[in-house]
Amino acid sequence: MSPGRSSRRAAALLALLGAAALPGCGEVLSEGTSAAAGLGGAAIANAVGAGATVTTGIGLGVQAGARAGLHYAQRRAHAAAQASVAAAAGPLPVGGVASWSIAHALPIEPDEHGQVTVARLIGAGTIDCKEIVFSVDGTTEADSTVPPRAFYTATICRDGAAWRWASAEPATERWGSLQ
Amino acid sequence: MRRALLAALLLPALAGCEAVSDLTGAAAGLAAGTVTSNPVIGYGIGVATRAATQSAINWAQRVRQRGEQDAIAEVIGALPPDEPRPWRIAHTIPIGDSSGEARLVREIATPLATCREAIFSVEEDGADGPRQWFLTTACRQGGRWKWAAAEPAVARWGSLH
Repeated sequence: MSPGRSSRRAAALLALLGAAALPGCGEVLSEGTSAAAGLGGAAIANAVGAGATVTTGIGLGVQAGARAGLHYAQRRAHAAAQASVAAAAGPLPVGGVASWSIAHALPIEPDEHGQVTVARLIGAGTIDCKEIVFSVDGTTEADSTVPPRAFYTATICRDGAAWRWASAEPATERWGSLQ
Repeated sequence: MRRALLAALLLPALAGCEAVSDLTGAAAGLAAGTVTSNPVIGYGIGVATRAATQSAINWAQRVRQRGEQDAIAEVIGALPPDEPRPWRIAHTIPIGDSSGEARLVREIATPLATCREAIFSVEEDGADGPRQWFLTTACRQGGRWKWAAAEPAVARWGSLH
C-alpha cells in the first residue's frame, strides 16, 4: 500500500474517531481533528515531494488551522445555545417563566433544554438588560456530578429587536486553568 | 491489525469521556504487542495518548476548582444578611489551598429557583498578596447550594478558550 493511501486511510479513521466522540468530549475531538488534519497535511506534502522538515511544517500548520476551525464550530454551537435562552427570556416580565431548548445540527455540543425566568430588570440609560435565572434539565449522560436540574444566572441585553447574552468573562485571576 | 486499532480507538470514544483515560493503557498495550514501522499507526497512538493525558489533566483541575466553588457556594447559602462569614478550602493535595470571606449582597427569589448574589475574597495560603474581591451568584439545587454564574457570552471568550 502506498504511504499516501495509508495516510488517507488513517486520516479518515481519525476523522471517524472525532465524529464518534460524544458531545462534550472536547479533548478527543480536538486532538482527533487536528491530528487528522496533520496527517492530511503530511499526505499533501508527500504528494508534492517535500522533505521531512517541510512535511512536519505543513502538518503543524494545517493542524493549527484545524484546531482553530473546531473552536470556531464549537463557539458557533454555543452561541446558538445562548441565543436560544436569551430569545426565550427576552419577552418575559419579572417572574415570568418560559421554556427554552436547543438542538444542534452538528453533535459538537449536547442538545439541552430547560426553563428560564427574569429576576430583575437592569436599565442603564437607553440600554435594557435583564438578569435571568435559567435551568438546564436532565443533562445527565453518565456524569453523576451534574444534578438532574442545574440552575445558573446570567445577564442579557437588548440589541434592537434581539436579546443577546451579556455576561462578561470571569476575571483572569479566576479563570485559572479552566479551559 | 488496522481493524484492531480502529476498535481500540473507537471503543473509548463510544463509551464516553470518562473512559478516555483508559485509552492510554489500551494504546500502550497495542504499541507493545505490535511490531510496526508504520508511522501513521504510531501517530494515531500518540494522538490518543495525548488526548487522554489532556483530558485527565483538565478533569483533575476541574475537580479542584469545583471543590473551591462548592466551598464558597455553601457559605453563601448559609450567609445571614450584613454579616461576613469565612470560607476555606483544603484540597486533598495540599497545594493552592485558599480561604477568604463572603458577604451577602442580595437574595434573588424567582419562581424557578432561590439564588443569592454575594461578594467573596480570596487569599491563597502562604501568599502575601493583596486581598482580591469577586462577585458571583449561587443557587439552591436540591438541598444544597451550587455556583450559578453562567459562562460568558461567546463574543467575550476571546482567546480564553
